[in-house]
Amino acid sequence: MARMPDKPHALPLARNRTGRVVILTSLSLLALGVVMVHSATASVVEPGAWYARSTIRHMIFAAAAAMMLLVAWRVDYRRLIGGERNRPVVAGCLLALALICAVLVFIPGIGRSVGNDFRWIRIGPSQYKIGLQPSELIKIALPVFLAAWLARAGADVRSFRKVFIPAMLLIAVCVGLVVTQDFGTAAIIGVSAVATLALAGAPWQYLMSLAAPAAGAFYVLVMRSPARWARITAMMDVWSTSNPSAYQPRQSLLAILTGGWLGKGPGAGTLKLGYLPEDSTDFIFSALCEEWGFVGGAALMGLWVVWICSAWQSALESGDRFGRLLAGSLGFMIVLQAILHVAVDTVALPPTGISMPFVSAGGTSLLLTAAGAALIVSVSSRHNSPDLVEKI
Amino acid sequence: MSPESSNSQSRFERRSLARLNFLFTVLLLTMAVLAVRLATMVRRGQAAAVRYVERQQRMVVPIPARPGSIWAHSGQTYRLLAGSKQSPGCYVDSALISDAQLGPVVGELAEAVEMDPAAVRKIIMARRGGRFVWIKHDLADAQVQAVKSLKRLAVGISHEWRREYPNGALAATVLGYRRRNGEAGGGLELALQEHLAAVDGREVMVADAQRRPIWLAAAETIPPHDGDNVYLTIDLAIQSYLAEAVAEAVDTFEAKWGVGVVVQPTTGRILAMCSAPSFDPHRYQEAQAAHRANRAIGSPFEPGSVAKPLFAAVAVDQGLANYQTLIDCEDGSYSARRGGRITDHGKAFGEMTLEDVVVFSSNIGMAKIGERLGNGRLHAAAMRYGFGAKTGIGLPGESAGIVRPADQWNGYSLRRVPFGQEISVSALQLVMAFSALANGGQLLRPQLVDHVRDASNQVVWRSERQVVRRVVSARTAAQAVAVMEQVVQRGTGKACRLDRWSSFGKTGTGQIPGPGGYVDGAYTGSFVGGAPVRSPRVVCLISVYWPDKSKGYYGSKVAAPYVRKVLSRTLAYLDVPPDAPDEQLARAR
Repeated sequence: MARMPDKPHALPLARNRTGRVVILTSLSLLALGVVMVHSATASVVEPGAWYARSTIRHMIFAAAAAMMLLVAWRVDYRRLIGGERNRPVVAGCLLALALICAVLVFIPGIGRSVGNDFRWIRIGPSQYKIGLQPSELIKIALPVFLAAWLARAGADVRSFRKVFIPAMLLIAVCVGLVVTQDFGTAAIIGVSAVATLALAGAPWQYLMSLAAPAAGAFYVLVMRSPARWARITAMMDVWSTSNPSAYQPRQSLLAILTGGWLGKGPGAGTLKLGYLPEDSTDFIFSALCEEWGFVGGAALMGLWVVWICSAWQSALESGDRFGRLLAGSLGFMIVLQAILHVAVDTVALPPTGISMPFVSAGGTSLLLTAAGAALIVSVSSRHNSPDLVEKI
Repeated sequence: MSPESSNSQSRFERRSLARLNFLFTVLLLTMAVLAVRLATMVRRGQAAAVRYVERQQRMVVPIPARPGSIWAHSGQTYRLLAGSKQSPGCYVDSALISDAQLGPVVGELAEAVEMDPAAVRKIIMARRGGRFVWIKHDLADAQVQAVKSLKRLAVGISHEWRREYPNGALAATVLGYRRRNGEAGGGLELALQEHLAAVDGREVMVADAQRRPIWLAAAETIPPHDGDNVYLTIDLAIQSYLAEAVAEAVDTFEAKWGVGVVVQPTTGRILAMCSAPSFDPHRYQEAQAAHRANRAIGSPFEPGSVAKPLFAAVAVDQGLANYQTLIDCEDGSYSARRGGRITDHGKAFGEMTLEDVVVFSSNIGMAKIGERLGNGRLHAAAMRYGFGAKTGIGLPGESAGIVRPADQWNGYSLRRVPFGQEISVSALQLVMAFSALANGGQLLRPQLVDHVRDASNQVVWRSERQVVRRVVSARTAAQAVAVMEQVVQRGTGKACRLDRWSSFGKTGTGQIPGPGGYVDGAYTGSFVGGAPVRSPRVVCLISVYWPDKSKGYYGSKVAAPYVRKVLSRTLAYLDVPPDAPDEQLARAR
């Protein structure tokens, strides 16, 4: 048995078909996002410096995300579990940082509210403040940490006390920090963390035992909250004018319906003129369907299918457990978000702010999703390198 | 590493792979389900959604078109009788006012338009959610500025057309009026609706959610179509002469009402038409309905002796008599078999010529003419003069008068229709019948509209002289006018003798029928006169209905002096060369 090389050898993209497809589909989605964000915000007059305009900011972030995709995959994902020492130190630090940020959101002066929800922290001198959404950071950091922690040497995934309970506590903390401010993101964090556990091989009965607490949480958080319950009923009857929550799904539905099969043409949408809310983020799929029609919507979903398959492929091809777990969890998390976004926009789910990865405007989300995709490429580029686990 | 451990390791790996495959299969399937959902949504059809979206983002701004104006002659030019001007009003889009903002908006708005805040609030609450709610019409300039300076999206200024009548009550009964909403309320305003009506245009814009217009939907935008301008034959000066005269007559003799018409006999053009009492079209709501009626066309009355020259002319025209035929006037009392008793209102005429019968207005003489004509020819003559049929002037509320069917006429009718009983005629019918004698025997259709111009000032309609029928020959007509000149010279119409022009005319004092016979002491005093005799330029009729008997009721007293006033002022205004014998003498000197 050969010793593991100190500098792991990375397969170049030219020989890494799966990684290439992940990068190309991600870049396509980014490009589509740039076009759609421009179209959706075309009617909005924004005063201030040119670099402060949302279209320009989106372009800058999209360019940065593209750079991230093209460069960051060269970083060996195995550094996250500390190489040979096989301790998830880096991943743990990442998650700790994310959690600290998530707490900072609630501290006045640093946290910045959107509506009544505190989702942002802003750092820096007043004019050049950089906004950061800690929930986005948690979304990436939690699966990464869980994957690293569950794939570490000696981890007994089947242990209820040593693995399941601590994992659940960690997930509860992460979800709890986010859920009051952003229900949709919290749901994604929770579901994808459970999926990571499932991929790691946690026994079914453990996972099934989560059903009861989940139902309880649903009852407390949704059915007992008039605002959230109104959103559920709004989804049932979007034409109700007595329910203000029905406005968003109604406009989303109108955008898709008036778009028809072929759409109104790029830039020709009219619901973006202030009627369709959050058209550059939460409802960008509807805005796309209005302008590009079913054909455009189906093409976007087709891109996602390709993306899903290549992420799946890179997980399958990965020779080591950590790689498989990492690519599977991150892939699942990103796709889950895309699916929930489409489901909300097609009024299959009640409206809750979920942006589409790579496409929607939002700097933190773009960069971190790109980082996630880069990790998947990183996994795929090392699939035939010697497996850490087997070597030990 | 034991084989068992390796074995369990690989089983664990297989399970892990199976879960990976399972989860990603679920993701793919979900994506496929969503794609199918999208397809079914789109397939369900978009017509309703398109309608909804259009309603949501379309902003329709009406562009008011100006209704046509009505103009009257004034010398060589035209003056405005009725026109529309834009008047600013204030409205709110109450859907843009949240409940929290309602209080401040109402307060500011009430101050700006100088209204009670409670009243403003009441108007808004009555149509809460309405996108266009009028708050106040006809704002002053300062109020408009105040409303604009509020700079509230929900509050706006809109303009409406307001009808204005610069000459006030003048010719009001002919013009009619318009209600606040622009709807015509009678008279020419109603009759000319088809010309005056404006078709409002509209501008359709696509607006964003803040109701800011984004672009114009040019294909759906309709330009406004202004109404046509109508130019009347009515002359403002002559109208005012007539209106003054009729009003004075009605006031002086405390009559129920009076009417007057001035017509150009050669063309049938109505130069003036009025009825008193009248009303102010700006304040039509305050006027009695009866005062808004145009009685010159809508209130027929028994003409009385005014009818005599008309039927005498028919008898002469048909060769049954000539103006020199001697007629026995029975010394003031005549009782024919099945004809009742007829008197000459206290006068006893013996045998005299038909000319004198007309000049001195003998009822008995005219009864004898009726006997010569017979009911058939008499009825036909009344119909030929246009009695019992509308003149076709085209005004709403015109009456055809009353001429009973010929088979209901009897011995009484035979002897009474010739001096103007048993038939009712409108003032317009009567003056048109006299115009027929004055113009050489042709009954003309009265003209009130000279021409109509569209918004681009192109003439779209022009009136033409229209002959209804010939009534008597030109020769008989000339003789009839000559006889009527004698009425003015030496008969009952001396009060209408003009200083500078020759004139002709006929008095009439009709009785007013009521239930069960004529009402005691109720008369219609009329005079119809024209000038000059050789080529009459104008014919004028004034009738005074039911004057106070103690102040006078004979046409020679209650009407003739006023016709004289109108005629002399009108002839001077029209610059007609004087032709009276004295005047000619004076000029010869």
